[in-house]
Amino acid sequence: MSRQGSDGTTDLVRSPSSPVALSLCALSAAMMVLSLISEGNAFSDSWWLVAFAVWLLMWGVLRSMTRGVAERPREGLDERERGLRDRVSFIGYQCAVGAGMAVVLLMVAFQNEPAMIERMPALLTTLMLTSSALPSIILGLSGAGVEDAEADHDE
Amino acid sequence: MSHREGMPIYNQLRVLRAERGLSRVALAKSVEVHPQTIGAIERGDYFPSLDLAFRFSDVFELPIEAIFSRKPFAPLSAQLYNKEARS
Repeated sequence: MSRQGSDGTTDLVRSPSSPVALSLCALSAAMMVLSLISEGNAFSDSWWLVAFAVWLLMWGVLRSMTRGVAERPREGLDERERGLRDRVSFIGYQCAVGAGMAVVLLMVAFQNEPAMIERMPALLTTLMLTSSALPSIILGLSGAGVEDAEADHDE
Repeated sequence: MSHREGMPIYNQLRVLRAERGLSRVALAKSVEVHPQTIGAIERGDYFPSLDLAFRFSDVFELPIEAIFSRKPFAPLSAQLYNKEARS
């Protein structure tokens, strides 16, 4: 009977971790833009470095907020939570592979433009970081694993 | 049992919980799942495995078909009055 479909816990309004998850998405997008518009390598761009530090901090917070599903040992999860964690992990993996391929394609396309090639390490770093944080972001948006989420309360 | 689109599984969990004065947390504890999972099942967002369905069956001491059904359950009052009218 078990189903891995749309889950009602994916209520963006009620989840307390969703603002952090959305902020992390926005920060990742900003870092991506910075890595593409910076003069040369973004690793030496102070804005990118500041964004990177904030990003790590926010990821830690989000990871902590979603630890109920993200960090608990598999034996401690029920069947729905196991399915949910497997699904978000697979999405993160697919995005990481896709991001890597996208950067390779960009490098091939801009192989004769050294300025563009120089931007690729920071872009790849940003994309890989975002992909690795995607499971936490999805869990954060859904509210799954957040200890005081709505379903703990009776109607 | 796999999920088939357009074939929902209805359940009486909320009614049975209310009838027995069980909170989501208490029921979740009885069947060893997270309270959010009870909420997801009650809303029809998640269909439990057969194993979990049997655990509900044990807790409420009812057959599985009394808790889960392919067809919507009639309101409790309708069930009760129809039964009384027939007897």
